[in-house]
Amino acid sequence: MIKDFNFSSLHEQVKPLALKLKHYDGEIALRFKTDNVSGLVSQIENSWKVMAPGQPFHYSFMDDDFNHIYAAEQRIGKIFITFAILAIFIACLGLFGLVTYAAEQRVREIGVRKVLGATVADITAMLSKDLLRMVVVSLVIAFPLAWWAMHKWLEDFAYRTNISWWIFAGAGMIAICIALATISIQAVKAASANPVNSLRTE
Amino acid sequence: MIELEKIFKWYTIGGARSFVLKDINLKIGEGELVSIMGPSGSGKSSLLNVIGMLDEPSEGSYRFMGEDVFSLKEKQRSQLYKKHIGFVFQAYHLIDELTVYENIETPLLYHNVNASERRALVADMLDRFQIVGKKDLFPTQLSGGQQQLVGIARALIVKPRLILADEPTGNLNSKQGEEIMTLFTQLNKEGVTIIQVTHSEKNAAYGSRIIHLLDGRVER
Repeated sequence: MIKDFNFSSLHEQVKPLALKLKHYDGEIALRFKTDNVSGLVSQIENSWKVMAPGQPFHYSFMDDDFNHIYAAEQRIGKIFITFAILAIFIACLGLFGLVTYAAEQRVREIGVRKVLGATVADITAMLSKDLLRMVVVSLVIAFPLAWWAMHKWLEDFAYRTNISWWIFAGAGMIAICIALATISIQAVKAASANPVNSLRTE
Repeated sequence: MIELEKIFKWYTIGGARSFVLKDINLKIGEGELVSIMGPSGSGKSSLLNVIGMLDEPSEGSYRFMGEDVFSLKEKQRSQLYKKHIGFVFQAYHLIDELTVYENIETPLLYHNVNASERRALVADMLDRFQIVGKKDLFPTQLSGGQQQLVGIARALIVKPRLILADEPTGNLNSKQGEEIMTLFTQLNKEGVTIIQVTHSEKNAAYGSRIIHLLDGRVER
């Protein structure tokens, strides 16, 4: 804070002056509250032209600037999600193929079990069990890797969020649900086959 | 025990009906040992599948132990045949990935029998058929006769009232076949109703009754 001194012509009242102790960069930040943003911008522009003629007038809004900082992260985020969806889709294709193959291999066995009293639910569970076990194994492998990768990435930030345990629980649940949905389509179909057809011996 | 009335089964091929079973009327009482004979294509297996509730006829009524089978819902029907009917197949249809012990145990898994009871029942069965030493072998390591024995043991483990056997000795030599038929006679004496489909006159003779099928109908 310093005493008022006349920096403009004496015609004008001493108006508020901001003195910044740094190299000239011609930047100031303004907080404003108005409904007429474009009006305010023109007003500022006019004042600028008066006080600093010849200097180009650039302005931007701080929230935009702020967002811009994170543009890179957001882009990375979008790319990640796209690839994740792609990876899941391909994995589902693989699962679908596996369960179809397994079901076909075991047509006779499924027929026998149904004759012995197995219900469609029993057979579906039997076919799904092995594949779900694989999904669980993959979760066990993926969790530490994911945690490590997130940790490394977050280290770049001075202020970081926590990697909560429920993120993994949620992801695990979703993975299992997707796997189950994929598996059941084929499993139920195989389990519903009529043993009379599966056990034909001529 | 079994009452079949006006059973018909047909397939519609290209607009025309191809009959598999024509006007079957049969009554089989408890404790009988019945043989169904007939040439290939006479409908023997189809008849067995209908009796075993694995397949539905196109027309007709079927009373099993007094119950009208076709008026039952799918679930009730499967409960019924699960509990009372055991199947023996010509090709044995054992599960190759399971041991003898596990094969015999399999029906019990679908009957909600707990582990210790299962162990007891299977041990009993192994003992009865004198195959205790083979319990950890796989079906591919057994002879045809032994495999069929396992098949029969598996069919019997749930203590069914009725055994349906589709050409049980079809893949066996005469000596093995004889052993199986003796076993059936023994079981029949103990009160198990047995209906067998067979090609062999000799095997058919073990029965108290022979039903001849020709082109889907009962001949005599």
